Amino acid sequence: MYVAFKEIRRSLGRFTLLSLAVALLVILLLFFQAVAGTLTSGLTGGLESSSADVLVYDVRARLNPANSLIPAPVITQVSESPDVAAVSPIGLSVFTGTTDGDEIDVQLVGGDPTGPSVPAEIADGRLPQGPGEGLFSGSGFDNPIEIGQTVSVEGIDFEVVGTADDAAFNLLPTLYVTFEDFTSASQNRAGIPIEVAPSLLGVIVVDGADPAEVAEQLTQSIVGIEALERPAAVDALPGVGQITQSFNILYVLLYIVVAIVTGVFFLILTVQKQDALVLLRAIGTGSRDVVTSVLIQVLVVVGAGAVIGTVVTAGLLQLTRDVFGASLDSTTTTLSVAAIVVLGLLASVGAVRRVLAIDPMQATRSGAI
Amino acid sequence: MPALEMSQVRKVYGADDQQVVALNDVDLTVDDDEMLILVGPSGSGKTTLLTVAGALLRPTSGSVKVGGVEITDLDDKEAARFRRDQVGFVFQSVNLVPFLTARENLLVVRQFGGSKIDGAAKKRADQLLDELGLGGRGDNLPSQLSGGQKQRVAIGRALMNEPPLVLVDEPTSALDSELGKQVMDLLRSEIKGRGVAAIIVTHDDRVLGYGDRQVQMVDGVLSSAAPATATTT
Ligand SMILES: Nc1ncnc2c1ncn2[C@@H]1O[C@H](COP(=O)(O)OP(=O)(O)O)[C@@H](O)[C@H]1O
Ligand SMILES: [Mg+2]
Repeated sequence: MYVAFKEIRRSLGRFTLLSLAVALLVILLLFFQAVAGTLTSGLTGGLESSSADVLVYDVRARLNPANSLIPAPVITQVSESPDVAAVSPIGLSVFTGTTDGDEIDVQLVGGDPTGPSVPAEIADGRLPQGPGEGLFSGSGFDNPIEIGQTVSVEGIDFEVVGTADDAAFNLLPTLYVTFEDFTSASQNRAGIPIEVAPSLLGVIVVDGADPAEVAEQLTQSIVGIEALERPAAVDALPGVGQITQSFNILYVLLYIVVAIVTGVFFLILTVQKQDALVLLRAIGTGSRDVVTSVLIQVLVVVGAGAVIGTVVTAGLLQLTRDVFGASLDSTTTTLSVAAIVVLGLLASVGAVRRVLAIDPMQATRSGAI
Repeated sequence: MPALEMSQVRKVYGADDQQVVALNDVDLTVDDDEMLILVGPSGSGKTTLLTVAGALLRPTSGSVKVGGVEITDLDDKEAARFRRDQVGFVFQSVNLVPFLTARENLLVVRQFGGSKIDGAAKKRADQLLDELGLGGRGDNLPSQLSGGQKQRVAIGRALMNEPPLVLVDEPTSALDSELGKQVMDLLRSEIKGRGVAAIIVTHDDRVLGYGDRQVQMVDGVLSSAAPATATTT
């Protein structure tokens, strides 16, 4: 302890440098995680936050909501199936809308606002109750639309009456509206009164029923559909896997850099103070005490770097809140910081092995004081 | 009880035809308040003898007792504790931790092995530094001290834990004659003043007059009580 902290104090510069290097890597890691989180939740939020237990797709859509269209008879068939408590159509389509004079892309979600088509939880305001009302949810990448604001889509004015967090589809500003309004918007765009079919069906199962079993049973019994429980539907969304995988590669690279930087630093440090360590061993310091002092330094330096990195990232995300609405997830952050500290300790194995290999006898070999 | 009893101690380095017999069945007894001067040419085995007496090195055969306790069969951990509590070393080469001040170099011995640096330890360190003429130098790093001052700090470090046996290897080899004399005066007064046992290894003629007794080593063999004037390297 004593020696570990005294050394840090005497060589504050180099220890600070390592701490800052670790902090920088932590900033990158946490920032990537925030971006990845915002990206994936912008893609998956809509399904992930849905009040539906089971989602029903057209089997030919291969679980891509954008390709799925449910024929009208299926709605009745699903609602009459065992263990199904409620069904709502979910119409999904991207429109050009205007708000405050600006043109924006709007993801419309049409459904039964009292049924399993809307987010399970709303953040503010209320659900739409009739025509001309919408519930808004944005992704972290666009400007939020507030309650009371109006969004016009294909000649229909939607007043935002409530907001939900992390319930966007396709990384777009998302407006949950009634299925009737969704139909009107689609027909207005087509210019003729086409038949508008929902993309998906949301299903709530009866109390006590297992959503996975109900989904399995629906898939078996109704021709032309594929039903999945919600978590499975989220995982099957196109793009999510690719994003997660790309970012995982970045994380692994960062972890490797942290390990190399820490490992090499402490190895060099140990080699440089070899004489001092030999002396300490020769005058009666146990090898455990010497190893402990190396590990304490790793903990202090990497720990300080991790804390600095976390604080700076939190601050940066707070500052850029308007541009990029992401924040740190406390579980992910804690796990990442813990992983980096553990990795630092593991990486110092080279230094520790060197310390353990010291023969105190070397202290008697010549050289000048 | 003698401070150190070595009997039939043999140390052989290397194997087969590369063998070097550094200690050749050495018998040596040092009384508990005796200051012994060990002289001999370079390569004669002096440092090896100190190393074996201080539990840094196990002899090939023979018995080494310090304070009546056999130390040749200590394991690494016990040997480290023994060195910390029973022996004060002044090495020929590196003696100070470069990133610790003079005072901290004295205190560091106290810290390991679960002990604490308490007020008494600090007082003792300051007192030792004072005695060694380093009163104002406690906060200096080794790089800010001269060779003679560093050697004195090393002596203080060796005495810090009040060991019954002090082992000093070539204390004057890196110092000019004036400084060498100062350091030897100090060593003598510190060691005799405490009534502890010490072995001072040297091949420096100027040191010869300082001990209670003098033995000579040649090629790993001790010859007792060579006359002070006749011994050179
Ligand atoms: N670690 C070692 N391995 C092999 N030979 C050694 C080792 N240490 C010392 N020796 C040899 O043992 C002999 C005695 O060395 P040493 O005890 O250092 O003598 P001194 O201190 O009197 O100069 C020398 O011949 C030296 O080369
Ligand atoms: Mg020697």
